[in-house]
Amino acid sequence: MGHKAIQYAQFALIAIVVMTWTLTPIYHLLVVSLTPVQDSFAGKLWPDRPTLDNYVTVLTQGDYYLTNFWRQMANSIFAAIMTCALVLFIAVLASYVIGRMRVRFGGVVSNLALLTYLIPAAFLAIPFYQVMGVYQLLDSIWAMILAVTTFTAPYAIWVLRQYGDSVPRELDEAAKIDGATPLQILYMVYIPLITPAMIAIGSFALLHAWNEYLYAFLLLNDETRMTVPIALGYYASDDDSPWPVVMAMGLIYSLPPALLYYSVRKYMASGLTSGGVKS
Amino acid sequence: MRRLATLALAAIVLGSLSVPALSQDLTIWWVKGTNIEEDEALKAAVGTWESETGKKAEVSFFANNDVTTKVLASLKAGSPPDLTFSFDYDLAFSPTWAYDGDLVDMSDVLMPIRDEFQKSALDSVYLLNGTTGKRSHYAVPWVQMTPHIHYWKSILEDAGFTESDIPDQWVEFFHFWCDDVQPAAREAGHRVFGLGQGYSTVSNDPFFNIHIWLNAYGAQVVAPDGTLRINEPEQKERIVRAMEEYVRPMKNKCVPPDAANWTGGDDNVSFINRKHLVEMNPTLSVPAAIKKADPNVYLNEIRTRPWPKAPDGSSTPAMVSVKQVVSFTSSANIENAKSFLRVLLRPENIGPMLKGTLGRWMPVMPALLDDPFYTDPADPHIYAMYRQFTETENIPFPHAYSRHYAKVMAERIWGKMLGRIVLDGWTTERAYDELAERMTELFAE
Repeated sequence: MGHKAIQYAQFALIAIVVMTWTLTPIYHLLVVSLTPVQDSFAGKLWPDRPTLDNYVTVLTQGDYYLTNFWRQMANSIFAAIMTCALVLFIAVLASYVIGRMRVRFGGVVSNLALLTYLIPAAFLAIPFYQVMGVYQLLDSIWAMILAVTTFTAPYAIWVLRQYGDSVPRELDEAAKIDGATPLQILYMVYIPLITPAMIAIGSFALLHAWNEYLYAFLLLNDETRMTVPIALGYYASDDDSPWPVVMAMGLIYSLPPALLYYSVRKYMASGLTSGGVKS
Repeated sequence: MRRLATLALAAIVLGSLSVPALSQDLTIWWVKGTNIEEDEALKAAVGTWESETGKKAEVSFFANNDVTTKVLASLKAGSPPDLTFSFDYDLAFSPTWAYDGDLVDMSDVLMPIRDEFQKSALDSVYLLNGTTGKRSHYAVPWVQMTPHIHYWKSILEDAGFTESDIPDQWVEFFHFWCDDVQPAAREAGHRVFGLGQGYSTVSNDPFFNIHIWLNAYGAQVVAPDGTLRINEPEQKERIVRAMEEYVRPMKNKCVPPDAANWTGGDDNVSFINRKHLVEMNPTLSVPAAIKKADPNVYLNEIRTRPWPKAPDGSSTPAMVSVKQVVSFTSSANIENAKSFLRVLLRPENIGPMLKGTLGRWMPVMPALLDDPFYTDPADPHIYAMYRQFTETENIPFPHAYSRHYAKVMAERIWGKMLGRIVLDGWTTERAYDELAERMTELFAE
C-alpha cells in the first residue's frame, strides 16, 4: 500500500509538471486573447475586463492585416489536405515497394531519404526557390505544398516501412495464393492494415503544412494566395502589434488541428493487426 | 469513401482559389504598411503607371523581415523582383549589394529631378561599385528617419512634475526619469518603469539607440573616410563609457526586464500600455498608433522631443537613416522599374503615401515639407520631428562611411554585445573586446 502510494504520488508529480509545462503557454495564449488591446502588457493572471472583441476582430476580418483572413484560412486548409494526401500517396507506395516487394537496395533508398534531415530546411530555401522558379510555380500554393511534401515524405516512408514490417507477410502470401495481384494486395491487405500508421503520418504531414512559415512566405507573393502563418508574420514585425488580436488569431488557427487530433486519436493506437493471422 | 470524395472535391474547389499569377511587366515587393492608406497609395501609383504605359504590374506586400529574406533568396536564385523596398536595405544590405555590382544605377531616374531631393539623401545612395571602382546612385532615397524621444506627459504630471522640470543635459535627463519620476509615478499608482530602451538582437532599435549614445559620448567607431577606429585607445575608452551608460538603467531596474528580448514593436506596445515613461524610437510609429486609437491621448498625454544635450554640453545631432528603393541588375524588367519610379516620385504620388503613414517618416523632398501636415505647431509630434530634422545638424549612421558597416548591422553585433552584458553578465570591457574583434574581422573581409 505504502509502495503503491509513493508510486502514485511520483506519477502525479510528473503529471503535474508535464501539464503545467504544456498548458502554461496555452493558458497565456488564452489570457492575452481575452485581454483588451490597450492592456496587452498588463501581466495579469486573468484580465480585469475580459473581452471577446479580439475574436470578433479576427472572425470579421476587422483589422487591416486580417483583410484576407478567411481566404488565407482556405489556403491553409487546401495546403494541409494536399500535403497530407501527397505524403501518404508517396509514403504508402514507397513503403510497400521497399518493404513488401523487396526491391534491390530498397533499404538503402529508405535510409538515404532520411539524409534530407541532415540539412536544415533553411539551407535548402534558395535551391527550392530556384527550382520553383524553373517550373513556373512561384507564387502558387503548389510550390509550398511540394516543398513541405519533400521534407515530410522521407520520415513518412521510414515510419510506414517500419510499421509495415510488423504486418505478417503470410497475409500477402495467402492473398497471392488466392490470385491477388501486387496492386490488389496493396489495396486489400496492406493499406487496411497500416491505417493507424497512415493516420498518424497523415496528421504529421498535415500539421507540418499547417504550421509552415519559411517556405510559405518565400514561395508565395500575393496576399490572397498566402496561408495564415504569413499573415501572423505581419504582426510580428509591426511597430505596434495588437498582441491580444494576434493571440486570438493564433488560438483560432490552432483549433482545426486540435480538433483533428482528437477526432482521430482512437485510430492512433496500433494493434489492429492482432488476430489477423493464426499462429 | 463518400467522405473522402467530398473532401477531395472541397480541396479542388479551394485549390482553384489559388491560381498562380501570369507573368508581369513589373514585379514589386514592398514592406506592408501599418495603415491601409499607405498600401492603397502605392497601389494607386501602380494604377497610374499601368494606365500610362498599358503594362501590368504585380505588387506584393510582406512583413519587413520577410521581404528582406525573400529578396536575399531570390537574388541568390537569380530572379529578384524588379523593384523592392525594405527598412533594412540602407543599414544592412545596399552598400554590399552595390559593391558587388548587384544594384541598378538609378542616376538616369534621379539626376533629372535631383534638385527635388535633399543633398544628404542623394549622398546616402551614392554608393561604391567594387566592379567598376566608381560611385553612383545605386538606390532611390524614399524616406528618412531619426530616433526621437517620446514621454508620457500625463504620468509625469501625476508624479508631481511638469515638463519644465525635465533637464536638457544628458546625464541629468536620464537620472531624472529613473531616480525622480519613476519612484514618484509608482507612488502615484502607476506600475511603470522610467526608460524603454531595448537590448535585444531581434530589433533594430538598440542599434539606433547605441549609436546615439556613442555619438553623445564622443565615440567614433568609423571615421568619415571609412577607417575603422574602434581599436584606437581613445575611442575604446569612449565606446566603453557609452556602453556602460547605455546598460546602466537596465542594471538599475529603470527599464522593463523584458527589454532584453524586445522585438521591434514590443517597446512600442510597452510604452503605449504605459509600462514605461520614456520611449526612444526611430520613427513616429508610437504617436501614429496612439493617434489611431485615441487622438486625445495623442494631442494631450504624450510628447515627442529631440535628444538632450551631450554630456559635454554640445547639442546632439539627428542621426539620419535614409530608406531606399532598389532594383537589381538581375531583375527581369529594369526599364519598367525605372519607368515606374518616375511615376512614383511625383509629388502627387509620394506625398499622399507618406501622409498615409500618419507622419511616421520624414520626406526626403523638401517641397513636400511645405505642407501644414509637417509644419503645424499644434501637432506635438510631427512638428517636433520636423524641428528635429530641420533645426539640428543631420549626420548619417556609420554605414554611410563604410560599406563594411552594413555587415555589422546585418550580423547585429551591437545587439549581441548588449546581450552579453545584460543577459550573460559579461563586463563591458569583455563585451567590447568581442565586439571590436568581430568588427575588425568584418572590415578586413
